[in-house]
Amino acid sequence: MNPILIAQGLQILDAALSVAGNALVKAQLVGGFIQKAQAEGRTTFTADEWAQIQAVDDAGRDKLVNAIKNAVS
Amino acid sequence: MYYLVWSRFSRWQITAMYVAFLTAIALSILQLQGCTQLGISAPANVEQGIAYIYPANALVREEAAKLLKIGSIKKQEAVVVLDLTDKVRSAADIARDYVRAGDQTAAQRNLTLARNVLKEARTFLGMPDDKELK
Repeated sequence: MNPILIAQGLQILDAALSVAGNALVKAQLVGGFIQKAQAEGRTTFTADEWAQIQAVDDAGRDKLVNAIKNAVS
Repeated sequence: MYYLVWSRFSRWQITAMYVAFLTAIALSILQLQGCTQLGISAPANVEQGIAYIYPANALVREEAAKLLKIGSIKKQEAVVVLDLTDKVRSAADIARDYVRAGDQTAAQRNLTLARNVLKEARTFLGMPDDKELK
């Protein structure tokens, strides 16, 4: 039994599932709005829905900007 | 031959590979099942296609932040990704403006531009193709 190997394996697994899960959650937001619009007979998003969609990208940008600020050259 | 290959690995190494293999199969099945069951609907018009750009762009930004933190990319490279993803955002915002103005052709043109730039950023970071961007 090699604990280091197990830990590495779990880290890789966790990273893979984290990326896949994160992508899924983000895409589900838009998918949910599309389904809601269809159910309500709309073909366009409301202003509030657009604000939430854009906020997802804004949050992603903040994370990258912060990471760059904290990184050494 | 079969024994010679596998005898080089410990029991735990084989277990780890087995778990990774099962995970890869599970993720592939999820993709093959179609996205609707997972709450992802195919875009029915240009506006909905534009909407998918925002979370996809956020994902690329977050991946770049993660890779920078663990030292897999350099600060300057992360700045390039930030620049590329800002361009994606601009193209998506412009595409949305054209949708609201009723110019579907210009909207589609800018949506295609956003998708192409996003693909470049994803390729640079070693991320797999995104079905929503095709």
